[in-house]
Amino acid sequence: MTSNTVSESYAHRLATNRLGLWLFLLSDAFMFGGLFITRVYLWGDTRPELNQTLGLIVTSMLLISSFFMNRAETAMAHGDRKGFLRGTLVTIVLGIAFLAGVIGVEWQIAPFGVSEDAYGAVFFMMTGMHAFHVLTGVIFLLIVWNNARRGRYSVEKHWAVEAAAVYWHFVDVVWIFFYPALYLIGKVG
Amino acid sequence: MNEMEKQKQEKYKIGLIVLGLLALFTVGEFVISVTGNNWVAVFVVIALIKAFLVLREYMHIGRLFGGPEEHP
Repeated sequence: MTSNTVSESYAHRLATNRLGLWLFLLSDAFMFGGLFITRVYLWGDTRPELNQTLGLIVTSMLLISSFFMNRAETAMAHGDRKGFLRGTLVTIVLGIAFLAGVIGVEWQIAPFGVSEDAYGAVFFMMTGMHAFHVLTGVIFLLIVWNNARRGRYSVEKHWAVEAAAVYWHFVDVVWIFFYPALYLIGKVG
Repeated sequence: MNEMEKQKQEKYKIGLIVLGLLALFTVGEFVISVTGNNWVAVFVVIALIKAFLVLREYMHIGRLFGGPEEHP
């Protein structure tokens, strides 16, 4: 097999992998879309009295983590392995901080229980499902970070890095819609 | 500075600009809400713009339609 054939094969696999990942994300987006519609239907033009400042803080953490993830992926694509390791580590720390903010603080101070009313059911379902995705994203990033540390990726071949980054940004996009839906839209009920 | 380093710095710059815009929109929607306004349409438009920025600049959705290509 010539090197040209190997290269073409990798390029083809990369395109197929990308399509597969995006199809998975699309299917996941439908699930999150269902949760979003549940919120619109059950809460209507009201929202629970949540700590808006805390909402802003955790949202900022996630947005900044996306910035560092983008930086990390760019670094890997340009042969800067140290830059990738640094950027990914910051992303992981911010992801864990987001989880601590939502689960460790927001869940504890929420003025309702999970099965108390529609506010509790929707809030815990939306934030819980999202937090689960953040957690899997953090695990994914830890695996990729460890592999990169061992020198398993190169400028030409780092599909796992791209996949982890795209997945992380997807989790960010979901929160971009969940944040106003939970904390900003509607009158306090 | 070699060509690859230049490209990297350029992409870093774009990433920073996107973060700035995301921060601006996020603070904007926060201020709209805490000042007692409930402009649902504005919140939806802001969320769509933010999502578009992340999809385009961070997730590189364009790669999906570009056909087979190698990294970077």
